[in-house]
Amino acid sequence: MSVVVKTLTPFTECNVLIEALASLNVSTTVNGNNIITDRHDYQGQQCFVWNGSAYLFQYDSDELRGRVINNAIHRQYTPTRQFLSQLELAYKAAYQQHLTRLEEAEKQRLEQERLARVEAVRVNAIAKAKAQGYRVKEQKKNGKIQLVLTRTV
Amino acid sequence: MAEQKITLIIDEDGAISAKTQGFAGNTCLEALDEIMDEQAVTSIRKTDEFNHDVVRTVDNKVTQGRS
Repeated sequence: MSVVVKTLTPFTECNVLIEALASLNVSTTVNGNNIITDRHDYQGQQCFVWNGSAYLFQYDSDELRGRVINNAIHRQYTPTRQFLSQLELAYKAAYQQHLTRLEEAEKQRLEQERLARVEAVRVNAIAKAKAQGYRVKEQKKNGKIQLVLTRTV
Repeated sequence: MAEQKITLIIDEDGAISAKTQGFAGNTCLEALDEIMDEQAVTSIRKTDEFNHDVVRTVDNKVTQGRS
């Protein structure tokens, strides 16, 4: 008999879930919308199935065979309840890292935008000044760009 | 031959402040219009010399930045 278990923390991010599973030494294979683990039970490999909004863990309620199979490959079988409890903690930690990475990426994007904006203003000002007959001297001062434009009339 | 001088400072966010010297009256603003892009001008500080008909040194400061 198979059962579906819902945890308190919804597993919504595929990469975060895979990262959390890896931190528990669980190998995974992505098959379409499902994440297949290397944990075995009576029905075969246990997996996370995408239900449209989160991944749900599917496993067989009879874990005896899982123990037998996993013991046969020299690996201790962690009971599902304990496994999900550990996974929930690992997922939360991985999710925090995920948020930190997103924040860092956003910071870098904004910094790139800022640099591009400053460069565009600089290039434009120099081009227009030269077109108006100015000589241009450029200097950097305290992170700012100083352009001294001179012409004789 | 008179020298006209514009000093532009582009800050870390791409906003510009400009200072002009050697322009007569409001020709300094026209000169800045020709150089500065469509960025919104947020303030103009006129110096005493701004209203002189002909001046050797006009010192006007314009600050331009993102609106």
